[in-house]
Amino acid sequence: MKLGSAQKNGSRLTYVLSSGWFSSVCILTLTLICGLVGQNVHLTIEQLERNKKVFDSQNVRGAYVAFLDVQRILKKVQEALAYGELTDEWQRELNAANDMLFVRVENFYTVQEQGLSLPASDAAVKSLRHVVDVVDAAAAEGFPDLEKTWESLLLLTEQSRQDMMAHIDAIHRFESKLLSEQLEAVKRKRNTIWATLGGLMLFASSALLLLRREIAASVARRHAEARIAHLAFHDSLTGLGNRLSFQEQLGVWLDQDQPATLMFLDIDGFKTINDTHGHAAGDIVLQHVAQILREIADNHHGFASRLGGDEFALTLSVTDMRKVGDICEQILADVSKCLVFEGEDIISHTSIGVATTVQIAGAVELGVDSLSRAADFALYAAKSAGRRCFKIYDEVLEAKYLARRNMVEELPDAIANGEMEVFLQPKVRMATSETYGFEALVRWRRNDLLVPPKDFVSTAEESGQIIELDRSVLRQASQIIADFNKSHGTQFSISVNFSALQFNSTRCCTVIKDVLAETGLPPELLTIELTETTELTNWDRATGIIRAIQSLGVRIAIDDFGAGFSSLAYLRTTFANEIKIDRSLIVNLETSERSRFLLDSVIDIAHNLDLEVTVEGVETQRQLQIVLPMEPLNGQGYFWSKPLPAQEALQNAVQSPVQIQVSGG
Amino acid sequence: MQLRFVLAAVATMIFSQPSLAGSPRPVSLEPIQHAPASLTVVSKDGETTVYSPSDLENLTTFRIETVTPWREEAAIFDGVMLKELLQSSGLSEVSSIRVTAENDYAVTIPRALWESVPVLVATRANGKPLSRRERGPIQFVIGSDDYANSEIAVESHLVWMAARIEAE
Repeated sequence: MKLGSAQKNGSRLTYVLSSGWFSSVCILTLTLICGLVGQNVHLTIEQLERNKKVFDSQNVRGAYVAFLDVQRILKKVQEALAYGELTDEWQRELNAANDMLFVRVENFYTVQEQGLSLPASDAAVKSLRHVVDVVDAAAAEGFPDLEKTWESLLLLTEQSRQDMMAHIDAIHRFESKLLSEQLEAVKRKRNTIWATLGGLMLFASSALLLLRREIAASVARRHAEARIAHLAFHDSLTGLGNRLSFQEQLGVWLDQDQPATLMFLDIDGFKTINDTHGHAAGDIVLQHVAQILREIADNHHGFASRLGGDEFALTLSVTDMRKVGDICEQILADVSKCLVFEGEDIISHTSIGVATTVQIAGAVELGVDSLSRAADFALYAAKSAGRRCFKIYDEVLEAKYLARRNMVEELPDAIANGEMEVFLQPKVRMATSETYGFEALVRWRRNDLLVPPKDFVSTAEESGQIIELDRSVLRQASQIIADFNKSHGTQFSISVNFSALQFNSTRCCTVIKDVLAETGLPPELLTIELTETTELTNWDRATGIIRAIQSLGVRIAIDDFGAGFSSLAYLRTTFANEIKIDRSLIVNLETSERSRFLLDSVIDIAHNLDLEVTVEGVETQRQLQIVLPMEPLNGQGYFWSKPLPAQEALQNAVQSPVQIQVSGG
Repeated sequence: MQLRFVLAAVATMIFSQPSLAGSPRPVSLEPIQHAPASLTVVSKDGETTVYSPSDLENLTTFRIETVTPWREEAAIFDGVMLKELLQSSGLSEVSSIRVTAENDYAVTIPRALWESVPVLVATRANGKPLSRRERGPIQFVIGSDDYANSEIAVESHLVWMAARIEAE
């Protein structure tokens, strides 16, 4: 994502502002400014204090008081002149007055020395001192000429008065100047302080604005992060947690040893809903299911998740099986409620697989994976059971399934490695009980155990491996019979079962031809058995292939005749040589007259169509007796022999051909 | 224990050097010839007592060695305590007194001053009568340390040529 230039500048600015050295510089500068302003103010105050000292020293007052002191002296002299006599007391008083002036001048002088030395002050001090000296001099001589003293004093005091006035004015001016300077200084301080405050305010405002911006950005970032975190863990359509969140949450639950029930849910035929009603409708269905699950989760302290597509997971803390069952029923009912979307009714169903921690605790290490696998298998079981239901995990069932799957996986190798054994069950002429041929039945010798066909044939059919299997049986059986016939001079025939899948491809003709060539078996001794219950997907092609097989001289038999619904259709359309009547028509022969009628009719039809008839599943003498009159018939069943390993069956057939005397007619 | 006493003694010696303004200590004075001067004390009920420097020296005499705002070099002042002087005239309890000098200078001294700080009414300096040109003959003196440490004492309390004391 390219940053715009403004963004880039912004981030550069932010980078600078947030850097440590910039802050240090700012703080230093602020400290410096504050320090300078403080120092400035401090200096001003010092100045003010100095000025105060000047005012305190009362220089002006001193001058005024000096006037009084001078006046006192003059008055005393005047007194003497008026009185005419100089008494001791008068002298004393005059001296006292002069002393006072003396002290006054000394004080003046002291103040002067403290740094005010104004020229006017110097002059004032000098003139006052002159007065003192004159009086002292006169007193020393005892005042010889008072008149003269008086006249000089008048002059001197006049002078001193003028000088002191000048001093007073000078002091006034000086003090005035100090005040003005003070005012100016304070004004400057004010300006400085205003400027500093302004600057600081600007600084503080910018800082606040930046801070505010940063905080806003930080808040926005936090929101974005929260949103991302939410998105990372939640499904946006339904608001449920996603697979990631599910795994984490379940992991936490299991770590805390919380008992849990896990349900995996699948929407039946979701693809169909999407195709029929559109993806918007599909979304509605998903949200509908999500809401149901969410409510249940909330009510049972659990959590619901959407794992993807139309898969959901519901984790609850309930482990009571009855309650779990109720909840599943409720879910099934709620999901199946009709939804209306754009005027169309949409109904969906779900399959549920349930597994609880209690169930699987013993077997494997309890974890998200193991619990999920169990729930997954239960879901598979539910779907296999026809959907729209719930199945609870069954260890045993899973074991079986796994075993079966293993078997399926081993099948191709088994076929290739010759683990498939051919067993033979004799086919007899019912009238004479003479064995004329065998049906080849496959058995799987797996780990020294014989696996019965019902366990693997259907699996083989599902996986399409039946084709390979049938052909293998065909080769083996044909070879065995051909070899035996050659070595023993017999003419035994062999019947081999082919699944309907074979008749989708003309390859099977080629295979049969090859086998006949390889084994040297005469074609008329080979019968291919086709079960009438299997559905041929392409009648025309199948018919063509059947004809091709027959054109080789090989016979076709319809197996399990009468067990399914399309028997007559088969008779009508397929060109068979033989029909093998299913054991279901034989089983109630002894008790049911209806069965007898049916059997009779079928055999009749078959005979009329020139078909050879073999009756399967004869087990008792009585059955045999009933059937026998409906000849000519072949028979196959436990009554004569059960399927045996090939060589054993062959040996039996040769060594002790079954001869059973049938009594009765 | 012993050590502590020793340390205390040493500390006392170091820190109690006779400063240039120690507390007034009692002294007995030989009578001398004073210049004519008088201090008139007017009691609350108007009764006046006139003291000459010699009269003053009949009260308990004290000595202070100190500098003053007008003397850079310390001088030994002898005189009497203002408080005692006021007491003998019944003025020690008044809230303030007005002191007038020979040159008509006047100042009000609050009671707090003579209650908190020893104020010497000095009549002699360096053993000789305090002359007028020395700011006598009767001067109010406060030891420079006491003066500096007191928040009440100001320069105007150090009256020169003291002539009259009366209740304010």
